[in-house]
Amino acid sequence: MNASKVLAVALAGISQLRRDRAALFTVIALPLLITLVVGLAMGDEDATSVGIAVVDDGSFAADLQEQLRSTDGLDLRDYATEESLRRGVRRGEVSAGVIVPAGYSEALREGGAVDVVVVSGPNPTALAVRTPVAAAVDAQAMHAGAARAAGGDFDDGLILARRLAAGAAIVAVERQPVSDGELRLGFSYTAPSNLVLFVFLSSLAAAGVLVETRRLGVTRRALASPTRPSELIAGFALGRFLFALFQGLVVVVGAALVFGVDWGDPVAAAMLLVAFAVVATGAATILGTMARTADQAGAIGPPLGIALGMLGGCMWPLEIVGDTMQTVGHLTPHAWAMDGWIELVGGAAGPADIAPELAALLAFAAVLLPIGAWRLRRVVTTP
Amino acid sequence: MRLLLAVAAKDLRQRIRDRSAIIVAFVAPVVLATIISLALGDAFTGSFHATYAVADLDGGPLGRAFVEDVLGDSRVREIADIRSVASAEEARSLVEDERVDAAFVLPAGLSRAVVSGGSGTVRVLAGGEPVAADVAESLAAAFAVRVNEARLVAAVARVAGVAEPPSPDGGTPAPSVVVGAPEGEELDPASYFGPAMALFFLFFAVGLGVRTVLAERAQRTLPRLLAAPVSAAVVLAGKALAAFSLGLVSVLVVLAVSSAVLGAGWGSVPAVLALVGAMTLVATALVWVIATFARTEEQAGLYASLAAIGLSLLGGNFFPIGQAPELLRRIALLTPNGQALRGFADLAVEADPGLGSVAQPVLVIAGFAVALGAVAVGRSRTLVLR
Repeated sequence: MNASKVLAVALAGISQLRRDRAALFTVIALPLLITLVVGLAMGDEDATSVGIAVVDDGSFAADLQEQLRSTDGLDLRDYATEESLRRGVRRGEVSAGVIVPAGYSEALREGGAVDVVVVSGPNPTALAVRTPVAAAVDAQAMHAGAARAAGGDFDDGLILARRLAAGAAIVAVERQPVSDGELRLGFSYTAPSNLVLFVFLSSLAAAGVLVETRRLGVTRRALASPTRPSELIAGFALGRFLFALFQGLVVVVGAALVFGVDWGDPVAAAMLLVAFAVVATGAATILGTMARTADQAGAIGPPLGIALGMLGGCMWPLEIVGDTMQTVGHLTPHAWAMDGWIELVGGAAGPADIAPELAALLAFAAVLLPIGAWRLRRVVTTP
Repeated sequence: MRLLLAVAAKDLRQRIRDRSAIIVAFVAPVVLATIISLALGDAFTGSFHATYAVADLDGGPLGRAFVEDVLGDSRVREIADIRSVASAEEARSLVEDERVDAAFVLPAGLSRAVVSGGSGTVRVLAGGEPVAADVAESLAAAFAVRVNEARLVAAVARVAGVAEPPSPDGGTPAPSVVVGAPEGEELDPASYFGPAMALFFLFFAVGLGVRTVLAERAQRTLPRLLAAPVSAAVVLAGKALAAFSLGLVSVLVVLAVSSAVLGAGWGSVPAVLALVGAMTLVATALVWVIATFARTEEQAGLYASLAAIGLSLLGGNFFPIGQAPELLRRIALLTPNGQALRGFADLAVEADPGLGSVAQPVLVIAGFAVALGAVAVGRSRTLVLR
């Protein structure tokens, strides 16, 4: 097999790309744009979003609001009225809501009973929200109770109570973080997920080129020259692979420069990228030989790529889906690639850590590439 | 009028024979909506559950009070599993191995400290999952408050000069935090993503129809069509009608499947029709405008795809925009599909959905459609003359 011929065919395939500015945009700018938008939207998933509607206009109510705002783990959103808060909970804008009713501050001053209501969606998150709210309310009640018991002016008593609270504590609570692993979201998730998604999508989109090439009879003319079918096939495959690799590098470099994503050990990252690019090449080649028109390839490719991306954990982390769907998801190469990237971005030491993922991807490639090559040979040599 | 329908019917027949239209307009959105519903069915309900370990090294009344009264409370048991361990080291290693989300360590001598006037520290060993750790810290804090109250009352009374401090508000009612019954219907994934996928692919379904104008121009059949005793306006309107019809049917089929198979529901058929009709109008107008700017069919296809992806990203077709930061939520409402999705979500969760529930989104979308439609009509000459 003549290597220079193979390379020539490969480069001819991708030279079209350079001239098509719109396609260049799709390959370079689009994945980074999507990473940006989704990364910003996912943002601070560590905190539970809680709405608050303060109906009471007393100082205790305002203090409670500020106390909850500065509570770790709660992302507080203000609502003007109880009705708008309930609507916000129903719409899923917040996981739960807190209503501080009229008469709250007065009840604390006078020692009366009042209900602070936690508005819940049908999810049990509301129960988790109740705990920090109750802690804040209990603390206020303690200060107010002590101020009342001291007699005299309530506000003076309150100031005294707050001042003495720390010193009077028999029991203090000290929080000690044990592990430093966090549930990484934001750009550390969206960059790898878009890498996997777009390497596959772009490869599938390029499958249309293969169909066009066949339809226009370019392949027949190429075979008329002193080029063997196997060289042509290898050239096509190499061209698709280089394109997939290029797409991957764009996202890796772009995300590192623009979003500061740390892709982990370079050797392992390179191996993972190459392995997935090979899988994408195999899939694209098969698609290119099965579609009859470029329009068909264009119609099947993106939805197929998105579907596999969804199943494989590129649109949402597979951790959040049920066990069945997680298993189904691992029938896609995307899930294995995502597992590998999450390990690397999370600080894995080297290729050995992602050996299972690499092995799975190579298994996919070992199945897809030969089928693609065989179909390509049939299609190319059949008149 | 009959000519217009004839042109539309011819175009539709061509589209249906081309399998890519079937895939884009029907198969793809249904498949994707199904996958999303299956995958996110549980995730949407966001169930919170944690596991905690507790090492009661005190063994006295205070330690027991924490384990039995605080951690043993039925409300806490609903959201957390509690494991008792014998030592602080065991508790720490459980947290490190991520076998529990957090651990409580009640030091030895805590109960004695209460009696003798000293103090003690309850340690909360926090694991990597922040929300679970925060809940643990809050539980410990609530316990500390109750224990500290008596001491605080005595201290305040002493400083304020009150001779006999009354016992703390043992019998006086205090503010309580009550969890209300679940609010309304839940927005299930199918009811959100059925419309989301339908509207995303609507742009492509409509695009297939609109691009035929450019295709026919390139294949030189358009001039021949216009040479017939039929006005250009009728021909173009017929093609627009075909594209509109394909888009409309596509969305309705996807919604019907979401409802019948995935259990989605929006309550009011007129409201749904109003939303779908308005969105199809705006999608047709948008793709038409794009076609008037493009030079070739491929270009039109690419720009239309980019517009579809861009609008869908911003409008919340790929993830529930309600959970995104404020700015992104506002931007979503500037897109027609963002308005439509908000309309569908409201229909799904409102107790009494009707046409009125979606009046605002429909009007906004119709506004977009009128504006884009005007541009489309104005620029249609270029479609024919280029």
